Amino acid sequence: MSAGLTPEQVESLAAAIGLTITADDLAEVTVRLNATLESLTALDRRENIGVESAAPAPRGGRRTVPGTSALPS
Amino acid sequence: MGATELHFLDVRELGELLRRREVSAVEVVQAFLARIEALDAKLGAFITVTADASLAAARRADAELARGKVRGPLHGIPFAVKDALWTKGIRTTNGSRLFGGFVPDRDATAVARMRAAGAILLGKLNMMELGFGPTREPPFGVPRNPWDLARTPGGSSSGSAAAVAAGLVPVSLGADTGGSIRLPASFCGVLGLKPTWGRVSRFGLMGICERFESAGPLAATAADCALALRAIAGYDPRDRQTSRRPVSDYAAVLGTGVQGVRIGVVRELMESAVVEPRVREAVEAALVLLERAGANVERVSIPLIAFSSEIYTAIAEPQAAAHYRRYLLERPSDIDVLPRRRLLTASLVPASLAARVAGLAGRLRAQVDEALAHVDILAAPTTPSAATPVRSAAAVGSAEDEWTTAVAGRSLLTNPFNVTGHPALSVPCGFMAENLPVGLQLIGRPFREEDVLRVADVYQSLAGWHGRRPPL
Repeated sequence: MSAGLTPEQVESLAAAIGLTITADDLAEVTVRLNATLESLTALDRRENIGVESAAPAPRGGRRTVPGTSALPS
Repeated sequence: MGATELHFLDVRELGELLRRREVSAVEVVQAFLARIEALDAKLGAFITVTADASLAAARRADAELARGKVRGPLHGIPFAVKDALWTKGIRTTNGSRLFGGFVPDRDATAVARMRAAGAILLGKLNMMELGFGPTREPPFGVPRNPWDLARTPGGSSSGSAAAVAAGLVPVSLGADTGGSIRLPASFCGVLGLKPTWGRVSRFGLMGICERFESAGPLAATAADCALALRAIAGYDPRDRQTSRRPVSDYAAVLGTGVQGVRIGVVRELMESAVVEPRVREAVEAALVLLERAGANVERVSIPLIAFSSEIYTAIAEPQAAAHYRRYLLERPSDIDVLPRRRLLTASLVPASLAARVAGLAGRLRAQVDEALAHVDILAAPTTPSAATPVRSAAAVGSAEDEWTTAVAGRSLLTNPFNVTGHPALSVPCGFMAENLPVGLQLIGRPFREEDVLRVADVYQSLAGWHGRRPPL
């Protein structure tokens, strides 16, 4: 699923943080930003489910408490 | 010994000649400067050559040798450094017009330590702009691969690898944030080592992501990399994140063989769809050689490694954007179009999303540590393919352009070990049909650089790829 931002929306986002994107760069930045958001969002959905411990990750790395998924089962 | 015979001697061989006074440091430097003069116009490996200063340093080195003072195995040995490392009184561009006039007033610690070890700086090496991926129109010329001038040497430490491969310098320093030492090492057929994060000082390194980057050596052999690493490693009060662990004598363990060494081939990297079959075959053949030498090779799985590029992106890209925000605001036209678009994109990624994905870095690190609890070394290809063609500025296009996508994907196999901080090197493991080299990547436990160097050394003694010379 694409983040679906339009070039106009990307231009507004950039302006909101003081950046100017030229017309030459805007189309390409829009493509890249949508792709980046899509991949990061997909990974976030895949890996960051459930309630996480504030403690450092134990050996093996899993921080999620089993059986506490925030998603409907 | 003729000048042409000096160029492909390794550091140990050159050092012995110097210490026996069979050749002077001035003669050595003159020979390498002459080769740079003859070849670099078509290679584009150097941005700045410091001929006068190099010869002056060589005379000082000879005077010390005449008095019986030997600083160590690097005394009188020429070296060059990626133009991201500060050099006192010498322009340091970071591959960008942004810093075209920047002249540091001090050396980077890694450079200072090489000089203190007696090595002689020949100049500053070309690189991808800001160390931040492909550059459409490199401001200081297009670096080329010595094995095929129509192909890229890779990057971002482009010149660091090309110069060693072409015999312009026996050892160089690069810097690696996502693969920028290992990738060009693979493409150019040399050995390149990214040390453990915190093993080598980052003082004076113009980087993009302090959590991932490290300076490191490139050379023809594991032994030469071991010598250079010993010179540059160690705690630095000017980079308080450097480790206080003692620096090993990395060369001392070389030659002890690989009997019983357990090598874990990372399944998710080895079987990745991006890896060309013939690269996979070259890596498999290398592992067979190591098995015959007594190593035990098995497959290991690190599930989260398949998503390391997303984790890397979530951490490194916003840091780079923050680092260069001022230049995006004030001098955007002085940044090449490709890194500029990448910085603009990274500036717009929501911090909350990036932080959540970045939080997976600890989990990935734990999975790699878990694997290294069962094996001694991890192995994988360094790059998905051999070197790709240099494209004209007009032909380099969008993210939808196949070339850009392929280039962006080159670091898929290397960036996991920047995320986790483990030491990783690339050693040449074969040549593709077009006479283009590729590399085997070896990854070790934190602060166990001697382990990967030892395995690479054994492999080189068996395979001998480092004896091949590019057709220059």
